[in-house]
Amino acid sequence: MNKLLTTGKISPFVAGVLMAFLFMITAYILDDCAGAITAYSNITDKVIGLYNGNTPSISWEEIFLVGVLLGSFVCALVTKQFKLQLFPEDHLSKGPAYYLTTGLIINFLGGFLVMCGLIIAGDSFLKMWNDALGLFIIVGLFLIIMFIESVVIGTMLSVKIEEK
Amino acid sequence: MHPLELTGTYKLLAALLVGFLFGFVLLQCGLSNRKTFMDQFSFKDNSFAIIFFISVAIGVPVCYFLTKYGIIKLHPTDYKFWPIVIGALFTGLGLVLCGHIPITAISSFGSGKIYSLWIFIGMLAAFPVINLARPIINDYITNKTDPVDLNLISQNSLFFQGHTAMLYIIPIVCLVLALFLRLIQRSSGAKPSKKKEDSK
Repeated sequence: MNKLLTTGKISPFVAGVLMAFLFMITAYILDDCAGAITAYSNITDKVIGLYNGNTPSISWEEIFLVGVLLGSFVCALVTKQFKLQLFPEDHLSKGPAYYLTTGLIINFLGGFLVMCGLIIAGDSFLKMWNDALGLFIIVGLFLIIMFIESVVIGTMLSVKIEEK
Repeated sequence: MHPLELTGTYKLLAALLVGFLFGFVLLQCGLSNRKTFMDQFSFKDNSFAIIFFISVAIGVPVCYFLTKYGIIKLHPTDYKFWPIVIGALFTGLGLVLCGHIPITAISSFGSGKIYSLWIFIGMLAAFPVINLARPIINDYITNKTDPVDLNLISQNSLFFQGHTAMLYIIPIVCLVLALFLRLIQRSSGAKPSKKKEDSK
């Protein structure tokens, strides 16, 4: 067990079970789903408020995200996965002309589009995942559309790269 | 029984602890690596889909019984059909470009991937833009009549009114799908090593 936590990676099957139980534990302890879109919305509002000179208060939703950051940091240190990386490896292989310009735009745009989609859809991916455990069919519809689109576009892009 | 209704500092500490566990699991299972998502879309690495299907297979019956005995409460978002469809199209496109959902971007940043912060800033930038475009989104997407009230269907038939067949069918289907994805991943992963042996 100690070896698994310190060196090995968790298998997807074990991770799936852990995620399910984490959702349940969260629902029991916090009586809510953590990582909902309001947490990110609050961060934006508070950053803008801070810029305007207001002193923001921190809610449990933002603290949850701080916990995720800390958990990943500690895990990366313990398992020796921590590595400072300024640019993604697949962008680095395309040279500085790519990763200093196009790569940055693509990453920013990607993040922007992901969040735009989630805001329009109604909540964050983690919340939808949690709702999927309550068998809300509409979440399945979101996942199916998103997955099919990603597979189609991902395949088209990889074919284009291979042709080059 | 009922959920713990923590307040104040206790709730903050509990949220920090739960977040810590989520961060640990996300990094250990590889979901915080953008390559995991990228490879999922070309079926090179099915980890994400397997994690999702297994979590549903285990989580659905557990969630049902915990809800039934009042140990947890579900707080579903009021999703609507057209926002879900349009939102999924945006999210899918963004995911192909950056390979992260919000929580994995944070987790990835925690593991030293500085570029994930840039992705996360992109995500936060979406809020003011969507707020500006809110009247248009409301007119053309949110307020459009839903062809079917999917929320109502799921609440009435799958979980809440005793029609429990889906409680067993959906987990079994998810389990079979997860095993199938594992199988095709292994068989596709075996090819390169075989080629290597042949070349030797």
